[in-house]
Amino acid sequence: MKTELAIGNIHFNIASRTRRRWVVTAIYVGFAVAVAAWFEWGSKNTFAFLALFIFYVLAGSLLGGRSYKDGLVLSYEAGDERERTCRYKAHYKAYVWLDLLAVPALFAAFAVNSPEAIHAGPAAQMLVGRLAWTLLIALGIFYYTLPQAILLWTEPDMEAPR
Amino acid sequence: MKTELVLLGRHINMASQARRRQLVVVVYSGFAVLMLAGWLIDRWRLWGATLIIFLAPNVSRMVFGGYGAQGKGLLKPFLGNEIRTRYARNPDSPWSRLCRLTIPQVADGHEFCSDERELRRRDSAHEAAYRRLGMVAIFTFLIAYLKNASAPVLKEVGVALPAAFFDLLIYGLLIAAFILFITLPQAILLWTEPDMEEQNHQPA
Repeated sequence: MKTELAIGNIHFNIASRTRRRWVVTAIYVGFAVAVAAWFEWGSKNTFAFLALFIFYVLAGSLLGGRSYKDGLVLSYEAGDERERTCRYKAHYKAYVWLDLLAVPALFAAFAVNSPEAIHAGPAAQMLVGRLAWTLLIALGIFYYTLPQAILLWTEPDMEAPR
Repeated sequence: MKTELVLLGRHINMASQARRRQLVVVVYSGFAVLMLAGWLIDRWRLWGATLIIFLAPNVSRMVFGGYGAQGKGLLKPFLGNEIRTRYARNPDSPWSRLCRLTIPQVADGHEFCSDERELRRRDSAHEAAYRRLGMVAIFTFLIAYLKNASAPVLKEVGVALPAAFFDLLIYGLLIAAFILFITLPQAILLWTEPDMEEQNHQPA
């Protein structure tokens, strides 16, 4: 894991866990704002979706992991034995959390598919449809970012770069 | 991992990798049949969905193990160590007593807890499952996006699909994702673990 976050020419020291937690919080707040803005502009607006998608990719590349070589978390191919073990653990935790998120998404999709089963009126049906869509977006965001966020959140303080 | 599966009173030897792989194929074929049955009953509405949501986790728990603390199935409970640690901290607390009542194996550390190697394999199997499930998640998301944002665009190019079609496709993918979510790490573990030595059952 890197101890420095570089945005352009500005370098931030993120060796301490507290600072890394701030970065994670800022990214998820950013996601919440981006999704809210997208809904506000209209979820059928393709440009709004593209803006959200660009933020999604930027946040993913900033967090790292996967095939990203310049992110805060090392890519899947890099890292020593200890780092690999930490990555596996983070994925295990993320998997369990995503499991918990997938269940309400499934029930919301069930409600959309079987309106007669929940005796919902048109307004409630629209609400359920929106809920299903929101949960799917949340699932997509967390799938992409959660293991890296868990690693950044839980890794203890590191030595600052010299 | 156990070398023997006890199913409806029958003891089935699962020490060899080939047999475990056959078991995984049989279970997933069963899930495919279950999804088809749910579709045929009422297109995954009340009865079809109930059938899948009730049967899939139970089959996974009884055959694969892993999720669920009962210790049934081939794999030890994934949360065994955490439950055992909390139990051992105060065995007389109401939580521990309830635990002992519902999970009798909790007192047997060997049967219930995983060692370092098993924990590492559990975590790496989850990582592998996580990566593969991403395909399903991304595909589901794309379908949802097509339904919400691009249906008019599709219509313009002559593809007129009703919203109900997208809803059903998303729902079907979510059901498949749900089944994979609760079974894939266990299936990876059973599939990849090499042949094991058979346990010797000696009468006491």
